[in-house]
Amino acid sequence: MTDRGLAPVVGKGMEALIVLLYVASLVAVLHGGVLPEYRTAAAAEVSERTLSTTAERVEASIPPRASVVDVTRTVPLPDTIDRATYRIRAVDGGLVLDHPDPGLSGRVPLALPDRVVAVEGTWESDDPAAVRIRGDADRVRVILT
Amino acid sequence: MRAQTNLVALVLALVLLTGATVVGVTFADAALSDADRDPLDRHAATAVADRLVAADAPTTVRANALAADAVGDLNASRVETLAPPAEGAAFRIALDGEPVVERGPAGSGVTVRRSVVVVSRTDPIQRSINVSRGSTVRIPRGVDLATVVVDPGSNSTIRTVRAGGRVVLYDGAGLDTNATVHLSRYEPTTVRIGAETNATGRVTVTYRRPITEARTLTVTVDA
Amino acid sequence: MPRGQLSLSIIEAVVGVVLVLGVAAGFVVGVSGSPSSTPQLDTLARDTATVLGSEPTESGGDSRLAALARSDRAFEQVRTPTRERIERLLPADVVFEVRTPRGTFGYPRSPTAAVGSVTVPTRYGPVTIRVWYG
Repeated sequence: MTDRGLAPVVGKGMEALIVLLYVASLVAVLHGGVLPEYRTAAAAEVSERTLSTTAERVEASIPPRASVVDVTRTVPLPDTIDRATYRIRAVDGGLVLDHPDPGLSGRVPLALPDRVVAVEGTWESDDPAAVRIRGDADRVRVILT
Repeated sequence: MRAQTNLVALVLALVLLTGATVVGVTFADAALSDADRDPLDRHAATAVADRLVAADAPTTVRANALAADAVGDLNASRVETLAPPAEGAAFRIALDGEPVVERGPAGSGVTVRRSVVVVSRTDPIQRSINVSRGSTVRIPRGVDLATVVVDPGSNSTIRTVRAGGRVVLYDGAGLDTNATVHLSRYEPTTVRIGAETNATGRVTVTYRRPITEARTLTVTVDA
Repeated sequence: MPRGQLSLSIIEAVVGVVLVLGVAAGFVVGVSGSPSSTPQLDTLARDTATVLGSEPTESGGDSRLAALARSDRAFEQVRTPTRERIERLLPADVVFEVRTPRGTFGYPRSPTAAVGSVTVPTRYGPVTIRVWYG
């Protein structure tokens, strides 16, 4: 009789313990293996997307040939990638994203008409970013400010 | 007995839950890799297309109008020079499906389509104006460039050449020249000579009629 | 009594599975609802407007685009050749509608499709070209 009374309590207690152990191990596996991978994969996507969108923005801001060119366009940038601020520099005809995590840095070449003679400047991710295009009919400069 | 049956049920339940979690993680993985077809490929394809059809491009005569011979001369390295984002990438450029430049397998890249016309020109058409007869030459629509060679006869002065009412060549001392004049593409142009009476000589007008064919330009890039 | 406790665990398991699969379904639905690429359609509309704006008509002194807005008579004259021209310019799976102050022609509008468009202010009035996949 006493055996029968004890069995349900022990049974339920063991069930609860097993479930607790299971949930704890599942959370540990996900956090240890799966989550960090997904975090960096998503951040890498954001980094690539930021580079290509800003490159397209700069390329589209070049106005048609005119004797006087002075155009300023704002460029929206995400403040952080993977909770870290970064920098975008104009280097050698392309945009370089400098991020503390080297896996999230990158470079994209710019496709600009021949009359663009220089691309220069730097954007800080937490400062408002704009692209300034100045020049004349034959020489145009692109400045990141 | 009861406890064992419960345990079996519990283990079964946990196995089901694990299965569901694995399925969930697989879906998340597929969703992430599906998320955007490589934004850098998209940028490269858009850049190549933009540079190929731009008004100031070496391949066009005006915006969205490709020159047929420039298209024939296109090769992979010219494309790379025009659009640096295509450097080191596999790409395929086609007009109405016919490949123009191909390098490497670009099948899994991003495709961008543009509407363009391809402009080729007929062989030169030459028309002469006999100055003494005072004839005129009518150049049809579509022509925006013509070469005018003024050859005055002896003791003759040809001072003015008019195209469509507009003076395009003038020299008070008399023309004796070979010049290129710009015409309006949207209407036919009549070329007239302004010379003194009894002038002789020949003015030859040479032009080429453009043939424009509408085409769809397809650019696929896989970096 | 044993049956009662058995079904309780099963119910708990089913609830847990449904919860997890519900979250997973969120991934599938959320991502496959990707937007149709309207920038591509906008670019095709702009290309069409550029080409039509730099081509002469068979008679008259304006570009095709301007002739569509110039007068009712000009609209009737250029409408069919322009329609054929746009058919050749756009890819096979893209259809269009051209709206001018003198009239409209093209394909019937689809209420659900994503549309790319461009409006060109000509000398005689604005001309709007809309394109969509259809």
